[in-house]
Amino acid sequence: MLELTEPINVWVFFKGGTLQPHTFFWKQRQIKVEKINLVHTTKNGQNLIFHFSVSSGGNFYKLAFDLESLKWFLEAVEEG
Amino acid sequence: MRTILHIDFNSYFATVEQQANPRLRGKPIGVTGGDRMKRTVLGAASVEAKKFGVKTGMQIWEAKKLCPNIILVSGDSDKYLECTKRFLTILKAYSPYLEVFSIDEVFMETYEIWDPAPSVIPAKAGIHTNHLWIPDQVRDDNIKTTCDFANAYLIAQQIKSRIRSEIGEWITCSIGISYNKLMAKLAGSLQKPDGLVVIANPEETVKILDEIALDEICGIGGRIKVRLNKMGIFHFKQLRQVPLEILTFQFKSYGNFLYNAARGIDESPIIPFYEKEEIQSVSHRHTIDHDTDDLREIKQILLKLTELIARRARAKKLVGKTVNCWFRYGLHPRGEYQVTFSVHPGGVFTGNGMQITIQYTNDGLEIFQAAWRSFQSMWNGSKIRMIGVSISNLKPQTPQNLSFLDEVKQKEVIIKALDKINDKYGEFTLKRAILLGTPIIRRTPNPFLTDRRFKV
Repeated sequence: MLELTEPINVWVFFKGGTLQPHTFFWKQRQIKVEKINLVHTTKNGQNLIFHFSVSSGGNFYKLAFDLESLKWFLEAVEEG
Repeated sequence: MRTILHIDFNSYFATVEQQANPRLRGKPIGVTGGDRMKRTVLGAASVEAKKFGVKTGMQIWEAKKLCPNIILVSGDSDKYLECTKRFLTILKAYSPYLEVFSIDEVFMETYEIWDPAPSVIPAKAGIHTNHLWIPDQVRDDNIKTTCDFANAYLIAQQIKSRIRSEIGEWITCSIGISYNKLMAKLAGSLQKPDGLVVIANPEETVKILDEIALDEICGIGGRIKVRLNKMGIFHFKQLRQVPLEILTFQFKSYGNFLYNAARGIDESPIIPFYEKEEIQSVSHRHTIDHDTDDLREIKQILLKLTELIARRARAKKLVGKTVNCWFRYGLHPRGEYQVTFSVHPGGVFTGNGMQITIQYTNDGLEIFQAAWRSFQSMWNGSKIRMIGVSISNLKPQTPQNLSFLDEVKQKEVIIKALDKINDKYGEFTLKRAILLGTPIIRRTPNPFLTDRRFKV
C-alpha cells in the first residue's frame, strides 16, 4: 500500500445532510468512489480530520478531509 | 431471572481493517502496533489468520512462521475507538445498563424495557416446546433458548443487523445470552465467529460446563488450571465435588469464585460505563524499533512517556505520588533475553527500586526524574527494547495541592500555557528542547480502555 499525503480535488455530495466524496482526481485520472467502506475521525489538537476509506474498481483509497482548512488529501492507495 | 447479553466482536481490530479495505477481506491479516511493525506483537489476527494458528499477542516472527502469507497492517486506534463508540450508541437504544468490558466487549442487562411487537417474533423461525425455543438457524447446532430469553434473542438479532448496516457489513460479533455475566460470556464464546448462543437455565449450564475445559471460563487462567490439575481436578464435574472449605484453603478468597463458577453462579452486577471505578493509575509504555543502550535515546523516550502520562493526569485533574518504571531487555539473535536474572518469564524487569514515591504531582518533568532514578537503579547497561512508566496513588487535584512558592506558581503557569497550545495544535507542538527532532510516539491499539470513558 502506498501511503502519502497529497492534496487532491474532490467532488462531493451531501447524503442525508452528510458530506460524502463522489469523485476525486489523482494523477490526471478521475476516480469515482463506488463505496465508502468506513468513515472515522482523528484529532490533531482541536483540528478534526475525517478519514474516508473508499473503494473504486477493486482498488482501495483513503481520503482525508481537514475540517479546519477545508482541504482534501489522499492518504493511501492500493491498486492493481 | 436476570437477562444479560455479552457482545464480543470477532477479531475486532483485524475485522475493522478488513471493513475499511475490502482487498484484505478473506485474507490472513495481523494488526501490529502502529509504526513499529518490525518489533511489536500482533494486536489482533483475522479469522483467516487464526486458522493457521496465529493468535493475538504473538510475536510477528512467530506469526510469519505459522502463516508466511500473513499481511501485516499497521494498527489505528482512532479507527477502532470510533467503531466502538458507534457500537455503544447502538446498544444504548436497548438498555442503559452497559458495562464496557474492553474495546470490543460489552455486557448489557435488559429489564424487559424493550417490547417488540409479537409479530416481530418469527413464528416459522423456531419450534416452541414447553420452555424450549429453538430457532431454525441454530437448531442444527443444538443451541437452545427458552421463551424467557425470546426478547433478548430478538434484541441480539437486531444488534447484529444494525452493526452490519450502521458500522460495516464485514464486522461481526458473537452474542451470548444468559442469566448472569459469567454464563453470558461463556455462551458468547461457544460459537465464533458471528454466533448467537443462549444458556437458559442452571440445568443447561451444568451440561455445558461438563463439556468444556476448565480454562474456557473467564477467570480461570493457565496457572489456576495447572494448580487445579495438581489437585486432581481436570473438569468442572470434579470441581463441583470439592468442598468450599478446601477451595478457600487452597485459593483463599478465589476459592469462592471457583466454587461458584463450577455451578455457573455469578452474582456480580453490571457496572455501567458511567459508574466505572475511579482511575487507579495512568501509564504508558513504548517498544523501540531497535535494541538500544544509548542513554540519551532512553532518556528522551522516558521523558516523552512521562510527559504523556502527565498530560493525561492533568486532563483528568489528577495528581499522583507513586512512580513505577519497568523495561524489557533486548533479545539475542537466537531469541533469548540478554539478561535472565531478576526478570520474570516475559522478560520485564521486576527488581527492587522500580517503585518510587514522590510528592503529589502531575508535572512530566518531576515524574521523569523519579522514573529515571528508578531506571538507573535497575539497569545493568545492556540493551533494552521496551520501557514503560506509570503514576498511581492518584487523587483529585484540589486547591490544597497549590503552593505559595513563586517558582511553583510559575511552573504551573508554564504548564497551563503548554497544555493550552498542545490541546489546540496537537501533542508535542511545544516540548522540552531535549525532545526536539525525536520521533512521535503514537498510541498503539490495545483492547484495554484503561482511563477512557465513553460518552454515548
